[in-house]
Amino acid sequence: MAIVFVPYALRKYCEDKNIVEISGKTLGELIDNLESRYPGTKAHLLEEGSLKPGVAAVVNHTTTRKGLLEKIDDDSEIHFINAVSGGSV
Amino acid sequence: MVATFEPKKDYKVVGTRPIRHDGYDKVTGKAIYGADIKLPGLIWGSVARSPHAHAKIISIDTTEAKKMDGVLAVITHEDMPKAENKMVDLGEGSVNFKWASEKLMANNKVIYKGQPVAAIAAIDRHVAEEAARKIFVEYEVLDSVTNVVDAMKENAPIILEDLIGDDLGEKIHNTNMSEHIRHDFGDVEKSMEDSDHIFEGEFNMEMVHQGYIEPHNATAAWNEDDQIKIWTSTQGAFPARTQIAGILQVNVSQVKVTPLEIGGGFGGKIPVYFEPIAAILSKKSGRPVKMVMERTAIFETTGPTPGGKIKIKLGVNNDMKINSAISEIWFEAGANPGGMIGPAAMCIYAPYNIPNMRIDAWDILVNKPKIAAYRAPGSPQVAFAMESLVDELCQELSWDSLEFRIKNASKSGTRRGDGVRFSKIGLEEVLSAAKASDHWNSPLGTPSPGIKRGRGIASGYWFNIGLKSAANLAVNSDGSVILTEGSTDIGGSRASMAMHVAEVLGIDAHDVKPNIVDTDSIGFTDVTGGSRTTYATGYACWEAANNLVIELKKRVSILWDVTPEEISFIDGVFSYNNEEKIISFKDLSSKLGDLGGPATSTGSVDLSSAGDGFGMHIVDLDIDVETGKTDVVRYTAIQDVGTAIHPSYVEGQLQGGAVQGIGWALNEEYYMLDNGSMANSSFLDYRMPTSLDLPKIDTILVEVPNPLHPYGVRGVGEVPICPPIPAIANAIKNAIGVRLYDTPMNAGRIIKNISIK
Repeated sequence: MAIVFVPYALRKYCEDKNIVEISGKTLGELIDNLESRYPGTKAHLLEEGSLKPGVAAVVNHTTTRKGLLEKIDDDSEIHFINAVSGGSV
Repeated sequence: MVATFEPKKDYKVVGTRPIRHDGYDKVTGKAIYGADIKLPGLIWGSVARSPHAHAKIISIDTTEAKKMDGVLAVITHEDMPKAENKMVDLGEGSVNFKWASEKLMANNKVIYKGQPVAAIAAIDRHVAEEAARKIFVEYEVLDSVTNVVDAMKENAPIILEDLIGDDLGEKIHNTNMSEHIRHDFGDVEKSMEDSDHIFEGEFNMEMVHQGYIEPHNATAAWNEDDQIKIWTSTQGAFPARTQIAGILQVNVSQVKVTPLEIGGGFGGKIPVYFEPIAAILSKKSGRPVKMVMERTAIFETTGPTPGGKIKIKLGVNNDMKINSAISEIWFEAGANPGGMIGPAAMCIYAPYNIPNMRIDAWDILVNKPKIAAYRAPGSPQVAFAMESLVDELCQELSWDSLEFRIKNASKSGTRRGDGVRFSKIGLEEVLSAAKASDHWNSPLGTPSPGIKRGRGIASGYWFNIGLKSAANLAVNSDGSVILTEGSTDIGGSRASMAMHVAEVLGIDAHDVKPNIVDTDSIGFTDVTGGSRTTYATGYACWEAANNLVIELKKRVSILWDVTPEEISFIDGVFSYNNEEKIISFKDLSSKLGDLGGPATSTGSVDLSSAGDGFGMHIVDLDIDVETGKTDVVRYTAIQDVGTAIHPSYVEGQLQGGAVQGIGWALNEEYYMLDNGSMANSSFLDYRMPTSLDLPKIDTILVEVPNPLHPYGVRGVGEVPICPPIPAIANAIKNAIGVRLYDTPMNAGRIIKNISIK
């Protein structure tokens, strides 16, 4: 199962754990499974079916550019961080 | 799966220094900048601005302005389309278009000095400016806050009443705090308690501006068919189009942005300011409208980089290892949310492998212009704090500060502050290069009487972004290649893009003709910013060139009556069967008319990262102990640049970043008055360094190829502004024995601290 680093703001939904193991073949599936195990998390990550504006998902070393379609391996490490890029006004 | 590449060394074009393609036009004054635009029927726009930093708008009277001869249109917030108050994902960032719109034209209240309250279009600039002075606004002046401490006080005036702050996931109202984030891992408290030594510091920084020479400008023509043409100086024509369309509430396909030459941006020309206003004035007047911003307005109303407060606590052990780190970052957002706390948190501990860490960061509204990106936004500030404290603890414990950095250096697999692991990085190579450098191994020398000399070092980090880029190629019959791309050329990117293509095609870089085109003429391309252009647009150029080779092999297969798979292409020559048949790229190009017609290709990418970048700077400086004047006498910037496509432009990036960092360290600040006004909003009073102030900045390029790019390119433009501020602080401490915890470290502050000592 993939390792998810739980953002601080979501730990109250995850029994105060900072790391949880969650399965999922894609990032979208992983977030669904995270929500099943820890209800309340998904609303902080997704909005209208996509990652929320301002939220970036890092899979292993790199920020995903495929959003919820990003493939996840069993040994993947996932972080949800503040999105940082060039277009913000 | 992300593609990876093995490093090469036998390049023909990469690593050379051809003259830039736009060089002649720029040095002879022929290049077209935004203020040069002339169109039939062109008129001028001007804005009336708020004299207050925080005030309710009771009424706006435009009667006198409208009566003036030559005035063709007057607009206020009533003419701005009403955008929804929610965050919208742009694909390359997020924006609240309501706030973005009100930032450009105040609605009900003003929240920073200089905020536009009305705009005028008139037959010429003088009439437009005179009419702006005849806009009469009645205000109810409110208390203002201009720093993070005051903005967080219990009874602080609230800047945005509709702001809902996010405090570690909890929604809060009636606040100036837009966001509080936290990253942590390991057992921070216990590890701190168990550390052999604990050091703490509190650092304060003032807001600074990018200080680009060319002013903001925009020309707009809103046509009868509701197609909107914009000519502007921008770091990203497509992100500008997205913002303009969002603020005007039209489809992106209705807006065509033509990027003109740019006289500096450094992140500050990503947001739009005049473009939507000029467009609405154009719609209302039926004429194309041009606007050019004055320097005072640039300082007072366009995005600077945040000041704020940073506290750090480090626990170290007697084995010279950092055991624990805790930090708190308060950054100004300006008058709208969306500061730089995210990248600051990513960067603060990046050069160090620290097993236990915590970071809290707050984004705080103040009555100042909304901040914008400025070269590694957020990183120089936290580097000042972290690198100063590292220097302090090394001095206290009599440790060699370079050896300490080497011993604690991040490597591939080390976690940065937000928990993400580094992939392949070159920090250790950078530190080794610094240790072996002539500068580090040279004695300080003896300064003149009355002068104290000191040396300082500091590291810096930026993560470098990837994102979207597109490139098109077309072959001319004389063997040259037309390259079409969408990245604004700020630091010589035409040359480096052409070199990407030339390397693949085996031709001279000058046989590739780069063109930067409008948003109707190329695929979506993100900003020239985030140190992404050479990496991502270069990657798209490389891909387009490889696709062109595939296309040309098909043409050669017609010529020789063989299959494309049987044809080789090496160093610009197509060959078949061990060179039984050969034809050069140039010879083939003249035959394409009989081989299927024009040969074209395209490349497009959406990349996640341009590779993490690290640098170290070494500075020697002299301080006149009587006047406090500081002179930088020697400076060396060392950086892992991946592969330098055009080394001169890479060196230029290192030198430019260092110079901006030196100015930030020693002189630059928004000097704010109690009423929320900036007291030094001119280049006379906002002291930036000139070539007369500085020695030549020496550079050492360390090349650790980035496996994510075909040539090993790593982003380079932002890292070099991170080390200068702490390097100078450390050198000042070394020179006069006093550590400064606040910027700017100007003569007055130095003298004051010398006298306290």
